[in-house]
Parts: sequence; structure tokens; C-alpha cells
Amino acid sequence: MFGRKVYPTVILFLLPVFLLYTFIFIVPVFQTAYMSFFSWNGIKSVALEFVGLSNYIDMFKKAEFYRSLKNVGVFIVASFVLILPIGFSLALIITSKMKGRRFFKVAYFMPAILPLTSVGLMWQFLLKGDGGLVNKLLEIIGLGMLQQDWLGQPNIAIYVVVAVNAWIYCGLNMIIFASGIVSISEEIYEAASIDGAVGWKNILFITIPLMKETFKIFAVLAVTQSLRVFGQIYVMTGGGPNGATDVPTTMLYNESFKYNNFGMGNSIGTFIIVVGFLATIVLNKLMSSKADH
Amino acid sequence: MKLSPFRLLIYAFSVLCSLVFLYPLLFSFQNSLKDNTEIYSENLFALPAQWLWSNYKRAIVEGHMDWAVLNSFLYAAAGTVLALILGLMASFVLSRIKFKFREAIYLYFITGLMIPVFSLMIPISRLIGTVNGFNNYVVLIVLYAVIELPFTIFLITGFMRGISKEIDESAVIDGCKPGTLLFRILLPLTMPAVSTAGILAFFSIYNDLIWNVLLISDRSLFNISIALMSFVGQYGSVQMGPTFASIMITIIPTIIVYLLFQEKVENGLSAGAVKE
Repeated sequence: MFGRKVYPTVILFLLPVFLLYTFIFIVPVFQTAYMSFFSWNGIKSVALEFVGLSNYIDMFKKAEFYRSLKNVGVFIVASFVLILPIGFSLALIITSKMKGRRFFKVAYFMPAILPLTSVGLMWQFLLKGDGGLVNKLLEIIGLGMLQQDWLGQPNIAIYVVVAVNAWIYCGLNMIIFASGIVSISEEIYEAASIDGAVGWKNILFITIPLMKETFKIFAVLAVTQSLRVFGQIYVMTGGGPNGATDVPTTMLYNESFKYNNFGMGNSIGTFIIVVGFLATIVLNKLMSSKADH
Repeated sequence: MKLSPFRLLIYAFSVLCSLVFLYPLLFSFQNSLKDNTEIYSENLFALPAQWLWSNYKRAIVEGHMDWAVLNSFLYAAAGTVLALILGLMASFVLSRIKFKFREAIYLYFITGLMIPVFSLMIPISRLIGTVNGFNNYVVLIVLYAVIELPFTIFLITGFMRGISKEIDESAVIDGCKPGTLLFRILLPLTMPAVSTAGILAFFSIYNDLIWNVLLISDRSLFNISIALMSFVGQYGSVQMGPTFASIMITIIPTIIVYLLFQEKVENGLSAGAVKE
């Protein structure tokens, strides 16, 4: 197409995009890796000081670093034990022929569209120790002894954040599951109903097996998205109390922009990029090779 | 259909779930019209004794939340348009024209989907520092657009590859220039992908937190996230009414947009989630 004029067109249309993307997106990836071998306090006029691997050594020596990885693990586990079953149940509800399903869809999906900062701050107040909604509701249903400052207890704060995260994202995953459910042809259910299959059996023996692909996508997402969690933590706890809810991204932020330890920040950044990359590739390989058998 | 106990149970579950997802929002709205004494009082479900719309006034006058919403809309609208124009240009070349290294360049763009942008906050803020780009609308908008590029290109290229090439051939025979072909002829056919990519970009820019935190310190350029954080930081639990009011101000526009474009938003955001 366009005969000999192919290359002028290609350059005219592609070059600006290519340059912007390269300088703003790709070059920073290499800068992160490069700068992770230097120590820097963030001041423009101060030169970088080459320190070899010491940022990485410090990072791997930090107990906080392992806690942040554990917290990512909590997010991943919660994706499977909270978001998966709830999201899937909600998807069954909104794809059923139940009255009011359109309302339910909007209701369940609502939290997913709201600004993360607003929702995070809202929950911060609802979970407050004194006068928070959660504590008041516990009082009303007679579980007053459970009342506490939900985000202020180092041993439970991460689970509370993860629960709020599930509240936000169940609706989004519901839509993903629902599109998987809808793509199953009605005829299969009709054939099954001739054989006498009803209700739960349909779901267990038809819907779930035929949604294998959707569940695979969910599994990949559960891991890769958990590595990217940032806003929820930044807004609700800032990584606290005492680093109990830190994840690698908030640690990166705190090390660099709070403690001016940009070298360590970059080594964490490099770690996130490498792990994220590997996780995506390995998981996708794993999932697709299973599909072949 | 008659109501079996089983059906009733499912119905009760559905209603309970909608309460779980909606009640916190309703509760916040209710509290946004109360004063501290009422918020802390035992009577959780009581309507405000006096509807304190003044809470909203304070959020607007003292917290400039109206400006913040406007700024967020501006960033989102401009960033989305720019991302779509750039994305369309790249996708056009990557899907309609055959040339050397085409697939390699496509992969190069798609790689961006695997890179968590949060890991790039240090070099990007350094980069913006070297061009003196702090507190600058245009710089921020370009940054937003570029961050949305990989997904936009992925989505639009995929869609454009499915459109018959014969259209291009007859257009070229008629003397059509590439730009006209793209924006006049192909764009209308690509609208489904463009609107999905656009909605996703719009929402993610509107809700941005980190780039505004890192690159903006001038109050007049605050977006909703940072305006909200600074307002709540000032008032916090000392004045919960205005705090809840400011949260509601940032939430309500999104709810309106969602209710207007319900189906599109649902599809757009879920397509965005499964991008990898």
C-alpha cells in the first residue's frame, strides 16, 4: 500500500509516538536499573555515587523488604479466597434471569469505578477506632468486643486493607467472569436440562469447566496486579503502622521520597520490574501449555 | 416462576451484597450533611437533624474541591484525546502498512503493558525535573497520554487488523492521503476499540494519584486525589462533616458518568483489567 511512499508515511505516523514512548516509558526502565547501582539523595546538583551492589545487599538484608513481599502474597491469596468466589457468585447473579439483576450489576460494580483515593479515604474513616461505621455496626449486632482501630493494629492492618481492596475490585472481576459465563452457549444448558441437570449441577459441571480460560486470565491477573498495588496502601495507611502494610511499591516511594534514599528505591524498582516481567511470562507460558494438553 | 425457599435465599444474598457495596457510600453521603456531634452519636441510621450543606460549601471554598474536579476532568479529557490520537497514528501504521520490523515495533509497544509504571516514579520525576516540567499542565498531560499508550495501541491495532484492507486500496485509488484515510474512513470503523480505550484512559487519568503527588505542588493544579488528601489532612476527624463532603464531591461526577455510559464503562474497564 501507498507504493514507494511507505516509509515517509511510516515515519510521519510512527516516529513521534515512538520517541515519546521511548523517552518517557522505556528509557526510565533502564535508568531505574542503572541508577540502582548508585547512591543518590535526590538533589539535582548532587552527583550520583557508584556503590556497586550495595543497594541490593541492603535491600535483601532489610526485614521490611520481606514483609512487603509477604504482603503482596496476602494480596494474591486474597484474590483467590475472597475476590474469586465472591466475584464469581456475583457474576452468576447478574447473568441469571433474576428480577432486579440490572440494579444488582450497577450496585456491585459501583466501587470499582470510584476514585481510589476517595474510596481509600472513605474507608479510613469508616474503619476508625472511635465512631467509625464498622465499630458501630459491630456494637449493634452485639459484637462490641471486636471493636478496634482497624487500620492501626500492625498484626491485622494488612488484612483489613486487603478486605477493602476486595470490596473495590469484586465488581470488576464480576464483569470479567460474567463475560465468560455469557459466552457459553444456551444450547449446552438446554441439552443438559434434557438429561435432567438443574441449578447447582449446571454451574458445577457446565459453567465452571467451560470457563477455564476466564479463570486462567484471572489467575495471571491476581498475581501481576497484586505486584502493582500502590494507591490503596498509600492512601489508607501509607505503609504503616510501622511498615506493617508496606508493599514493594510503597516501600519504593517511602525510601526515595520520604527518606531520600533513591539508590535503594531504584533497586526495589528494578526488582519489581524484573519480577513483574518474569511473573507475566512464566504464568502465561504455564497457562497456555496446560491448554495444549 | 414460583418463589422456592432456595430462590428466596439467593435473592436475600443478592440484596445483602448490594448493601455491602452501596451502604458505605450512602453512609458517607449521610455523614457529609452532619456535624461532628451527630456523626459520633450513637444513632447511626438517623437522618441529619439539620442538613448541613455548608459542609459542601467549606469543601469547595476552603478545599477548592470544585477546581480539583475540573482539573481532573481537564487532565483526563486532554490526556485521553492525546493518547487516542497518538495511538491511532501508531496503530494505523502497525496494522495497515507492511514494512520491515513492523512486528518488532509492535512488540516493543506492547512490552509497556508488562512494566508496572509505579516502579518508574524516580526516573520519571527526575526526567521531568531536568526539563523543568513540575507544575505544568502540558507536561502532565503528555505523561498521562504516554502511560496509556501501550494499552491504546494494543487495543486499536488488534481491532484495525480485523478491518478489510480493500477499503484502503479503494481509498488510495481515489487519491486519499494516509491522514484522511485514517481519520475520515478508518476511525469511524474503529470506534468500538477507540471508545473502550478512551474510557479506560479517561478513568485512569481522572483517578490518578502518584503523578500528581510527585509532579504538582501548586494548589491551582491539584487533581482530585491530592486536593482531597490535603483537605482531609487538614480537617481529618476534627471536622468529619466537611471531610465526607469533600469525598462525596469527588465521587459524584464519576457516578454520573458511569450511569450515563453504563455498558461502555463496564466493558471498557474490564477490557482494561484483562489487558495482559
